[in-house]
Amino acid sequence: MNQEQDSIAALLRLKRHERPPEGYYEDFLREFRRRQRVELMKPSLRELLFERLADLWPDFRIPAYAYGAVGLLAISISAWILTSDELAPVADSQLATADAIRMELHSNPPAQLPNPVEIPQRHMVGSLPPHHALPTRPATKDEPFSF
Amino acid sequence: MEETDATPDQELVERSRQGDPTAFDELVVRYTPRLYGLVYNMTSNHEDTNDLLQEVFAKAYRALPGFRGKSSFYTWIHTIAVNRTINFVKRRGKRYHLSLNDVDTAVENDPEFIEATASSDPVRETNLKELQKKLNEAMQKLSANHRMVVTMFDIQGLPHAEIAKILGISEGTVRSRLFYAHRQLQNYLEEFRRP
Repeated sequence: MNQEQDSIAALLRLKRHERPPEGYYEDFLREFRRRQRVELMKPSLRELLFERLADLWPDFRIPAYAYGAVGLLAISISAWILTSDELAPVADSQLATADAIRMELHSNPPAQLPNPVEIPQRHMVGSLPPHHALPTRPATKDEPFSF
Repeated sequence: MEETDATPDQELVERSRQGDPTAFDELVVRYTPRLYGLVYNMTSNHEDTNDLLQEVFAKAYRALPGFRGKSSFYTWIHTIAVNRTINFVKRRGKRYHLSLNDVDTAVENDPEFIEATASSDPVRETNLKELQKKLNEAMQKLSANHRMVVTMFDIQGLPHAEIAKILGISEGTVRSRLFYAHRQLQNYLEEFRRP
C-alpha cells in the first residue's frame, strides 16, 4: 500500500514542472495595477444615480430643513397612532343598549339580589359595565370549605 | 514565510496600509508564483487561474485595513486564495475545460521522472503531454476539498500543520483527506502504477 501511495505521490510531483508562459509574472503585476486603476475610476451605483440627477436638475439640492420636516412628520404620525388606539370609538347601538340596561337597573332593582353589586363609575368604559362585574353572586351547590 | 533577507511581510503590510502602493506590489510579486501553483493545480486552467489570482490580490488589498496580524500574511492570503478557489471550483462543477501550461523541459532531468519512466512501461510509452493530461484529468475527478490537500501536500510540498492552519481543519483531517484522495487517484491512474 505504501509503495502504491509513493508512486502516486511521485507522479503528482511531476506537476511541479508545469509552468505558466514566459513573462507571465511580470505581466500579472502590470495587469493587477491596471485593474486597480479601473476599480478606482469606476463610480458606485449610488454615485452614478446622484450624478444623473444632478445632470437633470443642475440646481437640485436636498435642503437641510427637509430632514427636520421628515423627522417631525414621523413623530406626529407615531403620536397619532398611539392616541387613536386608546380612544377607540364605541358603536352607537352598543351605547344605546348599555344606557337602557342602566336605566332599568336604577329604576327597578331586582328583588332577588341580596346584595346588589355596586359598579363604581370609574370602572365604566363609556356606558358599558366592566366585564369583571357580575350582576349576581355566582350560585353554587358545593359545600363551603371548612378547615 | 519567505522572509530571509527580504523586507519582512509585516513591514510591507504596514507600508501598504499607509498608502505605499509599491509595498503591496512587492507582496504581489512575492506571492504570485506560490499562489499560482495552488490555484492552477485546482483548476487545471491557466485563464481561470489568472482571473482568480487577480481577484484574490484585489480582495486582499481591499481587506488589508482589517488584517489584524493574528496569523501571518502568508497564511492570510493563502486562506483567501483557498476560499475563492474552492467556491469557484464548486460553482463550475463538472463543466471544466483543461487549459494546461507547458511542462518545463527540466522535467526530463528530474530524478522522479527518470525513475517513473524507468520503472513503468506505460509512463515510458506515454508522451509527456499525454501523461500531463491524464494527471490533470485524474485531479479534476477528486472533490474540491480532496484536491486542495493533494495540491498543497503532494505538489506544493507544504507540511500537514501548515495545510491544517490554512484550511482551518485539524491535522488528522488533513491526513485522512490525503489518504482517501490517494486511494481514489490510484484507481484513476491504475495504468501508471509501478508493478
